Amino acid sequence: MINKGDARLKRWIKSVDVADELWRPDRELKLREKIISALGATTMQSAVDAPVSEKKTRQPRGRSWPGSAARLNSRQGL
Amino acid sequence: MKADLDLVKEAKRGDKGAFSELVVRHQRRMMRVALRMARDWDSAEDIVQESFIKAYQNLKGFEERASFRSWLYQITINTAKNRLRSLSRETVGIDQLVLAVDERTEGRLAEVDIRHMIRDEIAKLPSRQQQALSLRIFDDLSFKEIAEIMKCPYDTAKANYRHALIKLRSRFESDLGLKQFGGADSISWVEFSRIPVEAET
Repeated sequence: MINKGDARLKRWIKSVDVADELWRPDRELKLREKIISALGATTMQSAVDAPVSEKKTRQPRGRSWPGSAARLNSRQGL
Repeated sequence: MKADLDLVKEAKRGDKGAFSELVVRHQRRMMRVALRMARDWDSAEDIVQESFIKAYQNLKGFEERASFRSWLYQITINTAKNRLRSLSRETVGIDQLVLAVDERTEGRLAEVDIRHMIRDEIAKLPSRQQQALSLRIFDDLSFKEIAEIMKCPYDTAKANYRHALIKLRSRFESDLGLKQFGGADSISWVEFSRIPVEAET
């Protein structure tokens, strides 16, 4: 729930946003053109090579029970 | 209007027009994030351009678990951090910059606009708290998105934000010893200090 006090505090903090002061609307369109033209010369990497990816869901690291397949196999001399 | 993920699918099939549409949609937000970090238009522009190129090059690695916007935020923030890290090696360190601000304001604290003080105090927060505060207040993002961007659990994102607010209040009240502040276009400190920092959903 957002109360009145929180809304006001946020508004005040928001009022110091440096992006508002530095914003240059005259250069926004130029930036878009620059990015899109740079993309023209860019190719996509394959999924295997891609270094930037989403975070994988972390799996629990607890020991499996009664034991991993490898440990069971070694115990059984396999 | 097509959803981001539909455009992502088209772009993955090689449609650069679809990716250009994503640039149009998200360029402003990414530029604002980069401006907050770089504090200079030209550097921010380079960061955003590099981020979109990285996003395009690595689009096939985007597995659509998070929103495209969150993924783009992650790339932009990381690109900015890397660039600023390499710049700080060449120029003045961040700590020295903060000190420079303090020296300038020393002795005339009562005259300093509260806006500048809030900004300086935000800059002194631990980076995770600063990031959560910035994404929540300046970018108006949900805690779910903030958690995706910061790669942390939902509750951690929320706690970082809350600690940032509490810390700001405490710094203003005790460290700076301010009790009152007035001015035509500034914020009244008396008013500011009475605001309760309450739970947010």
